[in-house]
Amino acid sequence: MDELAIIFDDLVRRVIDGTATPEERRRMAELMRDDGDLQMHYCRHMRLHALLMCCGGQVKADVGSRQLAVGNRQSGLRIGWKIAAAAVIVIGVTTWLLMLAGSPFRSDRSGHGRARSSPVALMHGESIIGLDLPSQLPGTLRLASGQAKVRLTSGTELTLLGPLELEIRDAMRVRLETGRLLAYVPPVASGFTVLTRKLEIWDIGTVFSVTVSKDVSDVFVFQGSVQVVEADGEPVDLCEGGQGVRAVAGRRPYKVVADWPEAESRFAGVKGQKALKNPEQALSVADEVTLAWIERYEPEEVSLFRARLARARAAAEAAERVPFSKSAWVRPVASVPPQEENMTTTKVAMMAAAALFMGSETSSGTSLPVRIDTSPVHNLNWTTLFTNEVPLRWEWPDTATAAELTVTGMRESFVTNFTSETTNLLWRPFTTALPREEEVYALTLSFFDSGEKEVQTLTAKLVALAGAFGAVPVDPGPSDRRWGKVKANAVIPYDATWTAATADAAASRLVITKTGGATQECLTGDASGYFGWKLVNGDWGYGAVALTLDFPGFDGKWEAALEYVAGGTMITVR
Amino acid sequence: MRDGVSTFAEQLAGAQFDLYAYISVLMGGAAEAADVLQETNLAILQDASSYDPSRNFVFWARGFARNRVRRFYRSRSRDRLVFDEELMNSLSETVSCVSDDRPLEELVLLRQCMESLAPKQRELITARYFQATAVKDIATRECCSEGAVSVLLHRVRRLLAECIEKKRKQAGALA
Repeated sequence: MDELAIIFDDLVRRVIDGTATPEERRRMAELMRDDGDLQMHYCRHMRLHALLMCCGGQVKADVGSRQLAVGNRQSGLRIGWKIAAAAVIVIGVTTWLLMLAGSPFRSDRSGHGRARSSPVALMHGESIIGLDLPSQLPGTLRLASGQAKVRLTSGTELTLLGPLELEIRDAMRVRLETGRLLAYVPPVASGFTVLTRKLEIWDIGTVFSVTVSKDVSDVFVFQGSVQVVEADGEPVDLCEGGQGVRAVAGRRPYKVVADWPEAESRFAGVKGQKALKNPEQALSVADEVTLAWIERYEPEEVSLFRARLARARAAAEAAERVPFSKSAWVRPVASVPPQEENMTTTKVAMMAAAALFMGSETSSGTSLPVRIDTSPVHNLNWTTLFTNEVPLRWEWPDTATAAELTVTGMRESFVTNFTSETTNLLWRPFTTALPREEEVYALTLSFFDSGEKEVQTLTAKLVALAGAFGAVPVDPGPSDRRWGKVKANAVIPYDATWTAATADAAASRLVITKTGGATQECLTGDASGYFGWKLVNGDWGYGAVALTLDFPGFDGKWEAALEYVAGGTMITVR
Repeated sequence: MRDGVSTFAEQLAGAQFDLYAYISVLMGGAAEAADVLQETNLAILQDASSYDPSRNFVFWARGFARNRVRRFYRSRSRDRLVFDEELMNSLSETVSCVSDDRPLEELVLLRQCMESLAPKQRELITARYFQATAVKDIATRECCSEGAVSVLLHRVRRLLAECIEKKRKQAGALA
C-alpha cells in the first residue's frame, strides 16, 4: 500500500467511525474523485460497515401507522404501512438471526433466502453469541451468551439465557444441562416437562423459570402451577406463582415461597406474564427471593448460594467480554529481509534505529542501532524518532513459539502477533511522512512458549519530537521550556541530570493533580525521558491542574501550574 | 394480487440491507442514512405499481434511494453535503462493482467470512455491531485507546471485505 493509499485508508476509517472532521471528509472526497481504485476501496469498506450495522440490528425502522396504497393502484388494495414496514424489517432481521444461529440457509438464484423449517424456531435474539439450534429432534441447543427466544412445535416458548445447554428430546420434553431458561407454556402444551439432574418439572399451563448450575437446580413459578418431583420420581410439591423449589446435591429438595412482605413486593413486579417482558429481571427476582428465603429459613445454605451466584456472574461477564489484545492489527507494512540488514543483533535488547534527516527529507543517513532499557540503574533509554521508518530488531528466544508486540501511544495503540520466528519489523509510526503532533510510544515485545507461558519481555520507548522533523527553538531544559499554549497532547521531558542534586536518580515521577478532581501519577524506571500527557480525550476538562515532577529518593522537585482556558492551555513553570 | 403484493414485499425486504448500504455509501456514512432508507421505502411502496417485474428489483430500488439522498441534501445545508453530484454518480456506479443484485447472498458470504475470523476478531465485531457497544466503551473495557479499537475494527472489516470479494470471485468462476 503506497503512502496515498495509507492516508486514504485512514480517512475512510475515520469517516466510518464518525470521528472525521469536515476537512477530512472533504479530503477523502477529493482524493477519490478521479481515482477509481480509491472509490472502490471506499465503497467496499462503507458498504461492509453498513451491512454489519444492519445485521447487528442497529438500523431500526419506525414509520408510524400511515396508510398508503401498495401494489396496483387500480386495485385499491391498501395495507397498513406499519405492518408492511414491520414485515420488511422483521424479515431482514430474522434472516440474519437465522444465519447467526447457524441454521441451514439456502438462497435461490433470484436472491430470495429462506430458512429451512426447523423443529426449533428462533423468534428473537439479543446479543447472541454461539447459538446452535438442532436441525432435528432429539437434539441439543447451545447458547454461549446473550438471550434467545425459541418456539417448539408444541407452542411452548423458551427464553434462553446463555451460557446454556439444553437437550430437546421432543416438542414436549427438554432437559436443561446448564444455564437459565424461562418457559411460557400455553394451555395447548400443558404437560410440557423440563428435566434437570435433580428435578422433573411438569407444567400445567404456566410461566416458570429453571436454573441449573453445577450442584443446584432451581425452579420458580411466575404464573399458573407446576408439579415438581425429584429425578427418581419422589414427589416434591406443587408450586404456584411466587413459589419454587431448590435442589442441592446431597440433600432433599425444598420449597421456597415468597410469603413475606418484601418478597411479595419484589415478586409483584414480575408476576404473571410480566416475567416474559423482561426475563433477565424475572430470573434475577427469582434468585433474590430464593436467596432471601434461604437467609430466613435455611441460613446455612447462604454461603453456597452466594458462591453459586458469584460463579454465574463471573461466567456471564467472561462470556460478554470481547478480548482482542492478541489478535489485533499491525500498522507496520513490511518485515525487513535479514540479508538487507547490517545492524548488530543483541540477545537482550530490542533495537530501534532511525534514518537521520539532515535538514531535509531527501538527505538522510542511517544511525547506528540504539540499545534500549539495558541499564537497571541509570539509563538514558529513550530513542528519538527521526524518520517514519523504524526498523525494530530483536533476537528470538530458543523456547519461544509466538510473540506479541504492543505499541502504545497517546493517540493510538497497536498490537501484532508473531506465530513463527521473526527477528525484525519495519514499523511506520505515522500515516503521514511527518508526525501530526508529538507522540510518546511504549513498545513491549513478549515471547511465549508452546504452553502460552511468557518466556521473555523486551521493552523500548520512543518519542517523536517536532524538533526531529523540522526547525524549532532549542529546548535544553525546563527553565527554557517554552510552554506557551498547549492545545493538544503534551510531551513533557524529564531528566534527572537537570540538577546536580538529582543526577544519580534512577526513576522519576510525574504527578498531575486537577484541582477538585482526579490525580494521575506516572512513575517510571527512567531517570530521563518523556511523559506523554494525554489532554485530548483525557477527561481532564477545564480548570486548574498542578504538575509535580520529582525523582524518588532525591530531594527537590519541579512544579508547574496549568490553567485550562478556552482556546488553549496556558502552562506556567514555577 | 395478494401473491403480487407478497412478492413485492419480499423483494423489498430482501433489498433492505443493500439499500441501506447503498445510501450509506452515497451519504458518507451519515447517521441520517436510516431516515433516508425509510423515506426510500415509502417512495418505493408508493410507486410500487410502476415496477416492471422483468427488471432487477435491487437496481430499480436503488434509483429511489439515489433520489432520496439528493432530496435529503437539497432540503438541508449544503455544508453537510459530503459528496457532490458528480462524485455521487461515480460512487453509484462503483458500488455496483463491489456488490451484486443478490444482497441476501452477500449476507451469506458475510456470515461465512465471519466464521473464518479468528475468535478475538469475531468477538470484536460482535461487540461493536451486534451488541452495539460504542468504540469508546470497548476501549474502556479493554484498557486501550479509542483509536486502537478503531484501527482494529478497520482491519477486521478489511479482512471481511477481502474475504467476501474472494468468495464472490470464486462463485463467479464456478458459475
